[in-house]
Amino acid sequence: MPYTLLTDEELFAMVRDQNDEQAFRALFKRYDKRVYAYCLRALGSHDDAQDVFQTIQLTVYDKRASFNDGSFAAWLFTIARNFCLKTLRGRKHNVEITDEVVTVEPEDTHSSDFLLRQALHKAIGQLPDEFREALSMKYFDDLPYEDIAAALDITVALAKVRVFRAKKLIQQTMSTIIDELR
Amino acid sequence: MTNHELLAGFLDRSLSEDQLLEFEARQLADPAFAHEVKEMLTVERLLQQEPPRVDYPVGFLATIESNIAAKVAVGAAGGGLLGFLAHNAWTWIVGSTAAAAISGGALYFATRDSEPAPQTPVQERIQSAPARPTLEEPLPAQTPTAEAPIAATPSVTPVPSADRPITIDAKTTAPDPVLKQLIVEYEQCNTTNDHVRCAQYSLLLGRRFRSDGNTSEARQYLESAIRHAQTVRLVDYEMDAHGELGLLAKSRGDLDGATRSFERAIDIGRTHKRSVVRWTQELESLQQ
Repeated sequence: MPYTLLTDEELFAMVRDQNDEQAFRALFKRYDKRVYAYCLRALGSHDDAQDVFQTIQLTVYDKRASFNDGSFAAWLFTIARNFCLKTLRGRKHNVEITDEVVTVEPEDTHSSDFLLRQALHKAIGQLPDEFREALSMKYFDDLPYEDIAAALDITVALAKVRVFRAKKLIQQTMSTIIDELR
Repeated sequence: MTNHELLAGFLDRSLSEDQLLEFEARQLADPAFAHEVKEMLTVERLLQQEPPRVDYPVGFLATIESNIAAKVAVGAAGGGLLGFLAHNAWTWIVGSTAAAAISGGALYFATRDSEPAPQTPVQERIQSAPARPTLEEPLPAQTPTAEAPIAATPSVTPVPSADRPITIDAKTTAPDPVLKQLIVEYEQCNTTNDHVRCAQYSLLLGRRFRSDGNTSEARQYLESAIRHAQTVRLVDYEMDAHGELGLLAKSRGDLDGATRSFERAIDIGRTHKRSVVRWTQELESLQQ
């Protein structure tokens, strides 16, 4: 069966209704790195990311009966976000993107793009949480606005506004270096 | 529309032709806005080209995948494997009765050997699919054959590396089609180093042999289940295999061995926050 041709929702239905192990594996591989990266960005350490990632994946399976319609990606990232927030609340402090999370390829270290990327990562780390979260979902998790809105429990219009304002804040922060390197 | 609304629409590629013209006109009329647009395009390019690079823990992700895949498979086994066992036993009984009643066992067996049963759509899908079948899918129906029972004592070869298959030369002394099918499944997954399935099948086989009183075979398979489970960190299987070894030792009157195995199962379960009620009760029953 060509699992690659099936949608996320079709694969998940096969997992939920038929206990199809191969469908699960196909679906897992579509999202494992994105969800892990999301956890890592949110929590800032591999140890925490691994703990939460495991909890998320088990929860998705254990709660499979509660997913009936809508976007699987939005549902998955809603669960991921809830567990990340719960972990962050437990810590009672915010975590910014760290060097552990962002690893830039060494061959780029002398290019102007490297400086721009460093500035970009720093600017992202300085964003308010709600803007950084929406921006990360859009650009790093590759989610459409509809799924971002569903995961964050906001309107699509507000998701667009948050992403734009995040980019605007980044542009303002990076304005000097962009001009210098132009 | 404001400049920012136009800019947001431009970056999202959602402007109409008229809006695009308006956007261009405003840039021409307002150099500061044009400058802002250029900087925003730089940010957009960086965001699209440079997501943060992450050192993914590939082994960890694979372990989680295997663990949950095992849950999925066990979910199938919850109804499917029991159904599969019942289905095969029923097929065996019905097949034997029908054959004896109609044409005698020998004729029936000969016919069955030469004419394979037509495949069901699911069976065809299993055979045509490149992926492994799930436990849920019914396996080909087993029918008794006239071939001599396979008789041998299983032997386990120690595995120097986790990547090498665990070899068990196991053959049952009973003409039990379910058992034979489980052994076939186990050997198949063993050749592909599918430790998740191997752990499942070897645990099932160990239980089955234990309940049949085949102590040696049961021990070999249960020890294999432990090794497979350890390889892919299937804690539940490892715990249960130790518990089954405890039951096996108990049935032989080896109370010290049973105690050690139950304690090991409980230790594993508690370490990984699993329910240890069953093995605790077994241990307590030994101590009473």
